[in-house]
Amino acid sequence: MSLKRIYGLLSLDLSDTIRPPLLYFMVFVITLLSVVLAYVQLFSTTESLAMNILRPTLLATALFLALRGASGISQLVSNRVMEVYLSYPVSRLSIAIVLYISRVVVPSILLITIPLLAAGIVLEPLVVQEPSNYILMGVSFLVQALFYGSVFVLIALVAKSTGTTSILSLLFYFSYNIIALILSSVSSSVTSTLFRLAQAMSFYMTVYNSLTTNIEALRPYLWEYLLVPSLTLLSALTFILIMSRRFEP
Amino acid sequence: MDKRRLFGGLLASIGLALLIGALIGSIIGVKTSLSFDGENYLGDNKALIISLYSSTSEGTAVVEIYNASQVFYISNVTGDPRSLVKALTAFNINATQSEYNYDMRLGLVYGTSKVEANSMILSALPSLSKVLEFNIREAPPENGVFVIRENMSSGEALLVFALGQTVSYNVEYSVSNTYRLPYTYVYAISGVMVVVGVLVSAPWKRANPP
Repeated sequence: MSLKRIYGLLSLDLSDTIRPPLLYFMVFVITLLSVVLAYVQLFSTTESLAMNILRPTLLATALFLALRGASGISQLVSNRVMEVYLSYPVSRLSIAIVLYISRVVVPSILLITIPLLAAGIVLEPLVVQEPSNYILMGVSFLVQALFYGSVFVLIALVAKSTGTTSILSLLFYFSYNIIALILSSVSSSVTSTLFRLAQAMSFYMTVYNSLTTNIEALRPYLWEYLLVPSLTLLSALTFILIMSRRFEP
Repeated sequence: MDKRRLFGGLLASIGLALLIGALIGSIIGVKTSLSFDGENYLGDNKALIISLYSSTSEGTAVVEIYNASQVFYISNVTGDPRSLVKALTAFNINATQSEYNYDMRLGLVYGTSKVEANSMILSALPSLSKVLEFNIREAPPENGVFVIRENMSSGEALLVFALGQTVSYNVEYSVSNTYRLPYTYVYAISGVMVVVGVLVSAPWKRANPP
């Protein structure tokens, strides 16, 4: 019975997050651009295909997560829908998990998987050669999107205002990426710790390097693989913890 | 939330995007080859480096060098040739003039660099092989023309060093595989997706309910 209620709440919240026709339009645009990109450029490895298709898509996903996902949580608070959610006869932990799935996980999966699938159809002869690497690259971009989304929903819990959440989320996104760029610019060589840190800040770069480099000195260290996934886990758990224990709408 | 309508709408959106994307792709077409040539006055203590780097494509490169006294080349080395040229400064081989282009459609970085160094060092480039950890080979001339033909995989670079007073060159790169599904297949798949998507999301109602 409780599971049925949780599913009902998830369905209700998803209908707000991935509400058509905006979702259809967004899926149409990112798929179209990915397909055109897959046609105009030549690719001979699945890693470079996934990298070139998903890098621009990740920006669109981050914008969606900030402006629809995280801001949506602030909107739930400001128009008092959150109080209705919290009055549901399910535990607060379940509500927190439902909100995380609905506002971060589902949009990330949709917006990362769909262009990957479309480009995979266009370049099917290439993708079938190394499907595991193609999927692995997709998963690495998904982890990065989940990281951004987790931080954005945390910001939403603190800000509680739609406008502030959007601005702070976008500020975080651009600061994070510019810091990575600065670190790689000031690093002395491609094997220096600063350069490795800059690369590790984008999980897909770490996975890409491990799949493509044949030079032992350039292979990522264990901490590089763990950085973004552990930050994602940490921010997701913090969101769920605050939401289920300390959050007051 | 009506999951059937959502799924149908998503499927139709993907199908439509795939269809239009394939149409645009067929209009723009695929670029499968590139050729460029040039003539450079070098003088003493200088060499010309012709570089090719297949960043995302794979193909065959043919480099022809005319009027050169000696030609060396490094093939199947991983990485951007611009970084490799910079790395040569460690051996007092300094780039004085570089010009590189990136052909995004072909997935190829190509260009030339003029480098300056002691003529002894330039003539003894193959001896640097052990230090540089990649093989520098000397190209034999064929009827006065140095011809280098190499198959390049994705991410590999080819660097050709030409020594002489006035060196001219001709470079051709042709892609070996485009890995694309035929357009007719993509049209068929996208058409099916659109039709199924519309059918699934259509608000069907029972005629004459009991």
